[in-house]
Amino acid sequence: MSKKTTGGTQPTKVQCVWGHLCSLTSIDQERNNVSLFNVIEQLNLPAKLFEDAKKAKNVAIISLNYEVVLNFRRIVSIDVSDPIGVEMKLSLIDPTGKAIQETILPIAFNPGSKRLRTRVRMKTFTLTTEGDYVYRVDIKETPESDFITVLNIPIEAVSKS
Amino acid sequence: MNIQYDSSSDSKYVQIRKGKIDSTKKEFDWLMLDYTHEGEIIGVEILDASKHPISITTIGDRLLELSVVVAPKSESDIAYNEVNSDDSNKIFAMKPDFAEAA
Repeated sequence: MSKKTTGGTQPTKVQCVWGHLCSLTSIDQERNNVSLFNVIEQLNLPAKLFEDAKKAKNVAIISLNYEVVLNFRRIVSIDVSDPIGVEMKLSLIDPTGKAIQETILPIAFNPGSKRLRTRVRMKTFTLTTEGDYVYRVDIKETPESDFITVLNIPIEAVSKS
Repeated sequence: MNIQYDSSSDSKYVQIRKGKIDSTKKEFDWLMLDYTHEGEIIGVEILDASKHPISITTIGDRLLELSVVVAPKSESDIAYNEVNSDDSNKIFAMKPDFAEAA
């Protein structure tokens, strides 16, 4: 699985304004405000988990409900009346730099929408060893282009004996 | 994952990993899954891809989950996409058989 992001330096259509991992999000339907609950910065895990991961296939999967919430915005020069569709990739990068989990999904701005929220609900977290993990957010603006990294969300996995 | 998109036919093919395709299963008119002889999914073909946004999650070179991306229903300024908002959005989900936390 590729861990390298190639091509381009900056996106030209869409920018990622912010992104977080959290336990739960809630959207106020009346005001369209989003609330994030329990932003996840660190996971405290039993040491045995990492030992088992080494014995198994070097990968451990834990049951964890969380959301990756992202806010995208059109680049100012793009006409709001035009629809925009890009491909997004969420890669979970382990402390060794290896992409151990990937999620791809298309994101689309409707005509007239300046901003777009994307909430990806996850039920598992993949681990190899303790240390600093990164949820890397890449976007591909055209089918012919390469993925461009637009955001890195850090999360630390700490072993607790 | 390797993504190939044909704009002329609006079809997308996602190669989960390299391998010999033994069979293809038609899940829906617009969704085909390629299987190896061992029964593992190694490719996903999506027809009318712009009308059928699909989220694909892999762990290593194994497919973990296929879900439908839910489009926003509200007409508010900020549109939002949701993935896995409920289990009914899932087309395929593999139960992990790797080591799990105690």
